[in-house]
Amino acid sequence: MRILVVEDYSPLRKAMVESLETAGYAVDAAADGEEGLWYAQNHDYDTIVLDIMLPKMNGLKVLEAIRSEGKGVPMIIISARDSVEHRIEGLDAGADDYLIKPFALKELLARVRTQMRKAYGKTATRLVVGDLEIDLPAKRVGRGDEEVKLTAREYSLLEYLALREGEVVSRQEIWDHVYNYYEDASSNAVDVYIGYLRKKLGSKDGATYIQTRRGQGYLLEYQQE
Amino acid sequence: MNFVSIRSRLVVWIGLMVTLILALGSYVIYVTARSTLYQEIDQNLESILVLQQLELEFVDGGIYHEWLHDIENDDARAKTTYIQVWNEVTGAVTRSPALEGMDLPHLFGSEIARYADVLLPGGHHGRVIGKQVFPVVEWHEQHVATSSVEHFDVPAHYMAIALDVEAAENAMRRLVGTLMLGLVFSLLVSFVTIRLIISFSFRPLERLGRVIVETNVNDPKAVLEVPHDLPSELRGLVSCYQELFARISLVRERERKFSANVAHELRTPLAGVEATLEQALVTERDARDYKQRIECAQDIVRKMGDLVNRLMWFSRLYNKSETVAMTPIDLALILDTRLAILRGRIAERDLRVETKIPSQSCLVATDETLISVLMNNLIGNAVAHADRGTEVRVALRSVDGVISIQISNACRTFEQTELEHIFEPFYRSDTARSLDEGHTGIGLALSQEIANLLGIELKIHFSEDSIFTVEIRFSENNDQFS
Repeated sequence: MRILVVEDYSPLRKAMVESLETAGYAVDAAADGEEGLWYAQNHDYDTIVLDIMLPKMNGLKVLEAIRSEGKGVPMIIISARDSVEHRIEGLDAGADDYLIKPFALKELLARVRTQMRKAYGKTATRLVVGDLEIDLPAKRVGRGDEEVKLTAREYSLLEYLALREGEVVSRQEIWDHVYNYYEDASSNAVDVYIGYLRKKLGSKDGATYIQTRRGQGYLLEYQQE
Repeated sequence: MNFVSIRSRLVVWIGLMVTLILALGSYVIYVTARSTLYQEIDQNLESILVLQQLELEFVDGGIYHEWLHDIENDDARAKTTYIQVWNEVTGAVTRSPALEGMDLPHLFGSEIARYADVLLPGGHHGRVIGKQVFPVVEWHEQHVATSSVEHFDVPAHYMAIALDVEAAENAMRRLVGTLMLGLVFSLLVSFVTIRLIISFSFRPLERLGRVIVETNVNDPKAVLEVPHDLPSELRGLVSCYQELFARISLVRERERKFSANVAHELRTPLAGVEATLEQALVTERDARDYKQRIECAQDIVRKMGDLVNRLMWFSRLYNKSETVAMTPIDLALILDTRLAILRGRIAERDLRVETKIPSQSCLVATDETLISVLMNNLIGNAVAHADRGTEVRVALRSVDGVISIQISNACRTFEQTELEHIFEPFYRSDTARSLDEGHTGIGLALSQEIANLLGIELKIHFSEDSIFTVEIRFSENNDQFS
């Protein structure tokens, strides 16, 4: 899952980026409004975390510019402005959530997860595909009583596919949502990680979870042979 | 008279005026009535005198007091008629019995009638008329009564006639009593009426007072609800209050904005500290990693401390609670020191510094600490906001006894509206937060307060070729280039 962080205060930006990356997200970061808008206009994000007081371009203007392009990406405002008026202003401008500084990174992560679930039409925090269970808050994957150990990248890939369960997801979409702007992955990196994931999920009684649609992409669907 | 209450002042002063007018009116009434009454009495006396002088006769070379004869034959008149006649030649005096030997006043020997008040036997008040008269010469002595003493050798007499005016005096006393009663009653009615009128007149003011008290000055949208029937005299007062409310609202708004800005400026680095430490504790790390993260948090805290210190300074300066110790300070030395401190930052930003600072001392009487903070802020701002690779100019001059320092730097274009707000605390023209760069957003506001306290003029100027200049002008005759 890919997230954009737009925050000019570098210590906070670095901490948020690191925290999100640790949680398995692909993260891009921008230090001013113009840079943030460029990222948002040129890439698909699952969530954008946006400060208001930004150099070059105010956060609210960035938000309005993104919404005016018809992009429905979930956006979380992070701001030191805590008045009701400011919160209303941010939400009315098109934000999906408003987080007041200072905040715990755990809360930011929880809000990011919430926005992602909403964006993909999921209400439960546990996604079930066949006998596979994905615990979104704990970022754990289990099959029956067994825990499936995944790397952050593998988990991120599985989570994205699970959120879009039943849909064919193209390689480009996977790329856009799992890798950040600076990651120099080879063209078949998606296929490689799909292979790793298939291997770790294994098959029980001949059941498979990730289906290939030739020329289209991949589909997370529980199928028994 | 010094009254605390306007109402009491009005009641007393208007009451005194009414008292004076009523007293004067009563006095006029009294005097007029008395004058009219005594005019009647005097006319009556004059008539009696005319008649009674005819009763003084010159018969056979002697004086015959027929008037006395008439009185003595009339008991009623004998008790109430007061006449006294002096023979001006012989000095003989003839009195009516009612005088009981008492003398009436011999006013003076004149042919013109004169009047006087007397006290008659029995203590009654009397009115007396006196005039020089000549006895009437009977026909067998002379054909015509005449006043020519020399010709006929008739002795001149002086006749005084008094009337008992006790009844008239009693009437005057009753009139005085009536007038006094009327005066007291009128005053009472007047005082009550005046008080009622004043109270009634003050009602709109009291209503306005209640409206003012009930208006919440803390509410920025609050307006003074002026009563529709407010007298025109109070419109000016209302305008003053509305202006005052507008000023209060402006100050409150500034306070709110300032508080919000302070909270904002502190919350962001606080979020940075919290996030840095939280992230540090997410997983086990090696000592070096922990050290780096703690140092990062420490750096943020240090900058926050700097901001808090500046806020404290600003607060003390704003509330005029900072003490100023004026001593001779060398401005050239201060500028050199500040530039030396900023040398690293200047090099980092690839800036050139052009200075025009006299080699000799430039002494001014000012506060060393405050002037150092002021110069540090202004030169620091120029260095921080100058475009990379450009020039920062610092000049110290003395022209016509006025010392000035100009600090200039090339930077982005400023709009006039931005310049108008540039001295406001936390005003950011591009909404950028610069704490990350080591700036607090309060430097210029702090500088302005220092300048105000030290009596220094601080001016900014932005030229068409994008040169931002701050000019610091010291008061005249404060220079001592030596």
